[in-house]
Amino acid sequence: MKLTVDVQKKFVNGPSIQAVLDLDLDHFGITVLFGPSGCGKTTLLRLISGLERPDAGAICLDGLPWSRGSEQMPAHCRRVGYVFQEGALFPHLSVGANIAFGMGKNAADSGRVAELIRRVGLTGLEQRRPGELSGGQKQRVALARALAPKPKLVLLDEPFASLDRPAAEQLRHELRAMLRADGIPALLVTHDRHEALSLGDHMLRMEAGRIVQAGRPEDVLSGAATEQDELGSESVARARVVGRREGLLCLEVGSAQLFAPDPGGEFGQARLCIRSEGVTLERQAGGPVSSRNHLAAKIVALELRGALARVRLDCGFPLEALVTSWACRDLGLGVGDAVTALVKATAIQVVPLDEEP
Amino acid sequence: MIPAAPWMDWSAAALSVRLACSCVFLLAPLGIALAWPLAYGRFRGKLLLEAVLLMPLVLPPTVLGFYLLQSFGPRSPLGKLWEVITGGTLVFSFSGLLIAALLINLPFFLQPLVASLGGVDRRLLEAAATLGHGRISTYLRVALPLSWRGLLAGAILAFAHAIGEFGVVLMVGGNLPGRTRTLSIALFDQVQAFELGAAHRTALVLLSFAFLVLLSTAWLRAREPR
Repeated sequence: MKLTVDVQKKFVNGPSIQAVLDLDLDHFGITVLFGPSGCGKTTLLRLISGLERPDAGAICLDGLPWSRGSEQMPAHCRRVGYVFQEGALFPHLSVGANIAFGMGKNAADSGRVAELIRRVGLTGLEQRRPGELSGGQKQRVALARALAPKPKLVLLDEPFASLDRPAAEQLRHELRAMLRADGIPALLVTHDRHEALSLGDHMLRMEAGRIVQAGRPEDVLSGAATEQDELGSESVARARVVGRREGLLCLEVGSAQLFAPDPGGEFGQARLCIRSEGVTLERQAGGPVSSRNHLAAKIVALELRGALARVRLDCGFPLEALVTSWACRDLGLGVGDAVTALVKATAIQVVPLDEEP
Repeated sequence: MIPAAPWMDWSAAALSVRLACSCVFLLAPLGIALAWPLAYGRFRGKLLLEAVLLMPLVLPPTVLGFYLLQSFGPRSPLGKLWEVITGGTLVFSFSGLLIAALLINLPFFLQPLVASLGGVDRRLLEAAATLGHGRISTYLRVALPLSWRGLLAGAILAFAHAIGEFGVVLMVGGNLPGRTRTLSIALFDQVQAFELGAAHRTALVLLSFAFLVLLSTAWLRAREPR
């Protein structure tokens, strides 16, 4: 099954949305919808779920229209699960009744509710009301509730936004396992790079109501400006763990090897974020330096921006360095030159992946 | 010697309670059905419907009573139909009184309920939709249970108002002991007959009752979680 979306929606005081995307609903996979706050990510989810009507365009599932002109399939007929930012649990119902809410009478009796409660680790809390749960527990119930009727697709609207970091971290792992167990594809909205990198199999980058880029998360995010600083950027790459040494991970990235701080936990695959300001360039390999990572690189592109320069490198994987223009002139750097890139281990952030996406 | 007035007109009190109970019993399904379009509906003529349903709040009861008397009369189509079906008349009967009470008390029932429904978090209704529940199911299983305070407040207000209604009752029901004479009409009679002791007792009962009702609805509203 393939969901094709090509919709437009205008708001009086908001962005106008004009989005085109396809989603494969046959296989499990998490598509991350990534973009800054207010770019229309939530609206796009609401359009797909049927909670909002597009002004123009169509949403079709294998050619069967969910939304086209005046033909509007109501939200309750679409079988699309939705996890809201802060759960939106029914306060008058128990945990068990919340989870069973979307299931038919027979299905609710079949033990699936109990199984879901077990899988989200809330056994013993079936009779609690949402008001008696912590934020993380509420989101677990919301997730179980959305998955209970076995929807065709689950939409998640920043489900971890209201949680503190450790709770969010833990729930992220559980989310992936839960979706995989039922084989339900998901579309996840986030503006958090770390979250996008640790969960996404595929990424859509959204800006001002449009989807501007699609691809693997490492490709989409590599070189994109970070939120804190317009000039500084991050290179993102896939890596394989090949060893551990003195608290550092030894990683294989493309044809290169890197050392980076170990975030802890068992994993064999990771995505790396390398801050461009943590990369130094050298003409020839010199004496000993504190940087653990020395990579042979070739300059692919050079972009002078006032006092600073962005240098794009190929060192077995794409890497960006942010250096001063002065240093560029001093070293006489030019496109095609061979250099050594020194990467501080502390400039690398390791995002573990649960399994091969 | 003038016979001592009874401590209270018990048959009138019983009739008032019977009228108010039947009224609330019938209002509940009617009001619950009408509250949905008023709280969530988006359709043409919603304002008009609102105005018509809420009119009894501001209309002089005698005006409503007059029109009801006209439309209930034995020569009116409704009156004739009623006579064919039941063999009795609507005017000066308990049934006529009850229909009048329904119309006049509907807004008292609706207002707190619609306000409560309007305060239910929209995301909860949307969540129910994404879980496969249509509008009616969402209304009955999410919106209404979460608005139980408004529902109860509406029922209490309608009950209290039905106990004390005077103008419409007098116009439609007249003043037949045991059939259409309610407490507030008994009070009127007692004053007319200078039975001031009995009048004081009746008035005090109605007063304390009204006070208790307002207190309980205020308490319900104060505890509404928002």
